[in-house]
Amino acid sequence: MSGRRLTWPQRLALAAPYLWLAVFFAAPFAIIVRLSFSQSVLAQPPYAPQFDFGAGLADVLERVREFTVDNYALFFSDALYVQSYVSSLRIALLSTALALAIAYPMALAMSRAPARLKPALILLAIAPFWTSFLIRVYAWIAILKDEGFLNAALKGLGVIDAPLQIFATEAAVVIGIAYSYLPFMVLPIFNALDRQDRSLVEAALDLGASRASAFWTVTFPLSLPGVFAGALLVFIPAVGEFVIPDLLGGSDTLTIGRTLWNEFFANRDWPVAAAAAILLLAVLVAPLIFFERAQMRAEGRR
Amino acid sequence: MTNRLGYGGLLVLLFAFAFLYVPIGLLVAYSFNASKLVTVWGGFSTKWYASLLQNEALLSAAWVSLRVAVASAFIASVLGTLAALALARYGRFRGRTAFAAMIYAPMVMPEVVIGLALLLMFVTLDVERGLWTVIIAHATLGMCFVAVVVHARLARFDRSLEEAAMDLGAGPVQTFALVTLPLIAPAIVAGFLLAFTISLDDFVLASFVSGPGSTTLPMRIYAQVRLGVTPEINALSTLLLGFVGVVVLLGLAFGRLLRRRG
Amino acid sequence: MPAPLIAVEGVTKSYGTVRAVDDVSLNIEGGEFFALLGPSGCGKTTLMRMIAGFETPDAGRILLDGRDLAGDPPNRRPINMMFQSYALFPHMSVEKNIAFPLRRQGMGSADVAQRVADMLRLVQLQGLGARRPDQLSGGQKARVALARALAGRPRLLLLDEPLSALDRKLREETRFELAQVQRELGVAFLVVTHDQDEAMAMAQRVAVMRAGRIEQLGAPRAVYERPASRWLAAFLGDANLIDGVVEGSMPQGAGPVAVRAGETLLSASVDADAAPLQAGQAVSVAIRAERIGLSVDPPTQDNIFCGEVRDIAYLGGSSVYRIACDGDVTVRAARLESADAAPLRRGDRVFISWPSAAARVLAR
Repeated sequence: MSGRRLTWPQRLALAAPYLWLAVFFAAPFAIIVRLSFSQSVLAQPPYAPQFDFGAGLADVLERVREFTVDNYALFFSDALYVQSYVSSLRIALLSTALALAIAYPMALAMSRAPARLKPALILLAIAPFWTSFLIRVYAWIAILKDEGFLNAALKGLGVIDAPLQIFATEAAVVIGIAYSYLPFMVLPIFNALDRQDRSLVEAALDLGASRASAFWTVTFPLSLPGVFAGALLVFIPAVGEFVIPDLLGGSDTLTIGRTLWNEFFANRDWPVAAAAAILLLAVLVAPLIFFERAQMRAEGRR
Repeated sequence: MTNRLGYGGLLVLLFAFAFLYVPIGLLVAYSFNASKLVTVWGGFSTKWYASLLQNEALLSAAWVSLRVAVASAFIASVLGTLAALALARYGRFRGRTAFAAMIYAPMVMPEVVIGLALLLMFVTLDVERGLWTVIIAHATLGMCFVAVVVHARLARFDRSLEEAAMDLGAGPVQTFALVTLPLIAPAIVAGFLLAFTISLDDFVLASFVSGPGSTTLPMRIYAQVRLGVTPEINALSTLLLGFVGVVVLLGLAFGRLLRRRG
Repeated sequence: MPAPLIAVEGVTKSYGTVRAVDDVSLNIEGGEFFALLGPSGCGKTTLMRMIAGFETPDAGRILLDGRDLAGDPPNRRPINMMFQSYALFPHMSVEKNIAFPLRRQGMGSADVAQRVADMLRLVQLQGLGARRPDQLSGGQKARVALARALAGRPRLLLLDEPLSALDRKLREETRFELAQVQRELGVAFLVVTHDQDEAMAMAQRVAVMRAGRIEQLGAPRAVYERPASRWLAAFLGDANLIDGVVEGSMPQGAGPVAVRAGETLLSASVDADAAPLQAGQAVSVAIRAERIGLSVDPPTQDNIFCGEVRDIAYLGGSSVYRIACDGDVTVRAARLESADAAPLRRGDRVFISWPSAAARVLAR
C-alpha cells in the first residue's frame, strides 16, 4: 500500500483542511470516547482519570483501571434511558414512513410533469430547505396547538367538537420531522424516477401489463435505490434530532438527543452525556453500513 | 403519452406543495396580525416589526449571528474547496480514506454529538468560549458541505480541460486560475451560501460552544419560542426568511454571472 | 542524417501489472502525417500522452530534434494536442480559446488578434469568434479545437481520435480538411485512432499497435496489402483467413506456395523476406474479399473453386457474398454491382477464383 506522492504545493493545500478536521473533528471525537469511559464521580472537568504522560507508562497503565463502563451500564439499567432509545427509533421510523408516503407520490407527479416545469418544481421542493429550520418547526406549533390553525379549521368544518390533542405528543414530533426533512426524501426519489427510461413502462404495457402492474413491476422496483437513499437521509438525522422533539413533543417524549442534552445541560453529568453520544452513533452505524452496501450493489449492477 | 401528469398528479402536486408552503405562509401572514392572539385575525398591522426594532437583545443576537455566518462561511469555503481539490485531484494519496471519512462523517453525525465533542475539546484546550468558538464549530460543519458540493462539480468536470490548458502552455498555477477556478466558482458560491445558511440557522452547535457574549439569533429565538408563539417571533421569522431568500437569490445570480464572465 | 522530429526509443509504460506500452520505438519526421492505429486498449493513447507529457515513461526516451524531453511538463513542450472531447474551455469565447496558447507565450495583443483571425480563416470559421463553445455544432467545435491547438505553431500536433464525435458524413468531409490543413501548414501530425479508414485516408505512414507493441509500421498501402501477421490481416479490412498446412517441400524465397486446407489445395504467395516455410507447417492464407473473383462461367485463374451462394449482403455500390465452397471452406467475396452483371441469388452455383499473388501465407 504505497500512497501517491504529492508535490509540496499539494501537500500544503491538503494540510489546511486535514489539520482543521483533525483538531476540530477527530480529536474532539476521541475525547468523547475517552470521557464516556470516565468516572462520573467528578462530573465536570477535571474528570477522572487524568492521564499524565510525563509520569511514565506505568502510571498510565495504573490509571487505566479507573476506566469504567458504569456510564453505559447506567443506560441499559435505567428504564428511562432504554425508553428514550426505543422511542427515538420509533419516532425516526414513523417519520421516515410518513415522509415517504408524502414524498413518493409527489416525486412521481414531479417526474411526469412537462420537462420545462421540472426545474421550477425541483426548486420549489428544495427551497424550504434553504429557509430556517427553526422557523419551519416553529410554524407547526401555531398549527398543531390545541387552539391552533388545524383545530380551528376542523372545528369550523364541523369535523370535531373538542380540539385534537396533537401538540406536545409524539405525533407532532413525527409530523415535524417528516415536514422538515421532506426535501431529502423527494429529491433522490425524483432523480431515480426521472432517470428511468420511459420506454421500459411502454414495453411493459406493450407486453400486456396494466398501468398498475406496470408501475408495481417496473417503475417502483427501479426507483427503490432512490427510496432507500431518501429514507436514510431522513432516518439518520431523525434519530439524533433534538430541536423538533423539544419544541413539538411533550415532556414525556423522550429521545436520545434530548437525554444527551439534559444530562449535559441540566444534570451536568458529562460522562453520561458522552456515553449517550456514543450509543447514539452506534444506532446510526447499522443503517449507514446498509446504505454503503446497497450503493455498492447498485454500482456493481450498472 | 404513457407518462403524462394527469389530474391525479396535479392534485398530488397541489397537496404536497401546500403541505410544504402553507405553514410558512401562515407564519408570514400572521406576522402582520394586529391581534396578539396568534391564530385569530385582528386586522393588518406592522406593529410587531416596529417592536422588533426596539428589542435590543434580539438585535445584538442577530448581529452576532451575521458575523459568525459570514466568517464561518468564508473559512468553510476556503477549506472545503481545498478539501474537494485534494479528494478529486490528488489520486490515492496516503491518508485519503481517513480524510474522506472526516469530510463525510460530520454530515451524518447528529449535531448534539458534534456540539458536545467540540465543547469537550475547547474545555480540554482551555479555550475561552465566545464568538470564535462558534465560528470554528460552524466552519467545521460548513466545510464538509462545501467540500461535497465542490467535489461533485470537480467530478463532473472534464479533466481534459485542465490538460488542454497545460498542453497549450499554462503552468499549474495558471491552469488553476484560468480554467479550474472559473469553472468551479459557481459551486464554491453555492457551497458558501450553504455554509452561510447552515450557520445562520444553527441552534444546537451554538448552544454547546457559545460563551456569555456570543448568544446567536437562533438561541434567542429558541428561548422565546419555548415560551410560546408570539406575533413578534412571526415578524422576526418573516424578516429572516426574506433575508435568507434575498441572500440565496443574490448568491445564485452572482454564481451565474461568474460562470458567464469566466 | 539529421535527427528526426520525434524519436521514441524503447518506451515502456505499465499500469499495475499491465504493460500499456511495451518497448516501442518509432520516428516521426518533420511535416509528416503519421497515424497510430489500433483497437481500444492497445496503448496508442498512452503513447501519445507520453509524447504530450501527461504521462512519464517507465523506461526509454522521447527525443525532440535529438533532445530528451524527459522532465519537460506539457506546457513547456512545443507539442499541442487536439483532445478527443475537444476540451474547449466552456467559459471562454472561440477567440479566447484560440488566443489561450498565444497569451501563454506572451504574445502582444495586436499579434494575438492577427493570429486568431488567421486561424479562424484557416478553419473557415470567420465571424464565429465571439461564440461560446456551447453555441457551436460538433463540426465547428472540432475546427475550433484544431485552430486552438495549431495557433501556437507547435512542432507536432497530436490528434486524439479527432473525428470520433462526428457523424459519418461530416467525418469524411473533415478528414479531407484535416489533411489539407496539414499540407498547408507543414506541421507534423500524429493522429491516434481506432478507425482504419481514418488512418488510411490521411496518413503517410501508419503504425498498427496491438497489446502495447507495434505490430507493423509502414505506408498504408503496404500495411494493407502485405500484412505481417494473421492478426493484422484480420484487423485491417475484410480478409478471409483460411487455416491450413504447407503442402510438400517449398522452394527458397518468394513464389507460390501450396497450402492444404482440408480437402482443398490452395496456391498462395509468400514475401521474399519472410521466414522460410517447412512442409507441414501450420499457416493461414489471407485473401481480401474484394480480391476474390465471382463468376457463373469458369474463369481462367490459379485458384478456382466451385461453390454455392449462402448469404448476400447488398450494400448499394457493392455486395458481399458468403460462399460455401465444395470441400469445407467458406469465404466472403465482395463484388461491385453493375447494371450489366446478372444478379446472383442465394443457392446459385458460382465459380470463385483469385490470383495467387492476392493470397498471402502467414504464420499461425
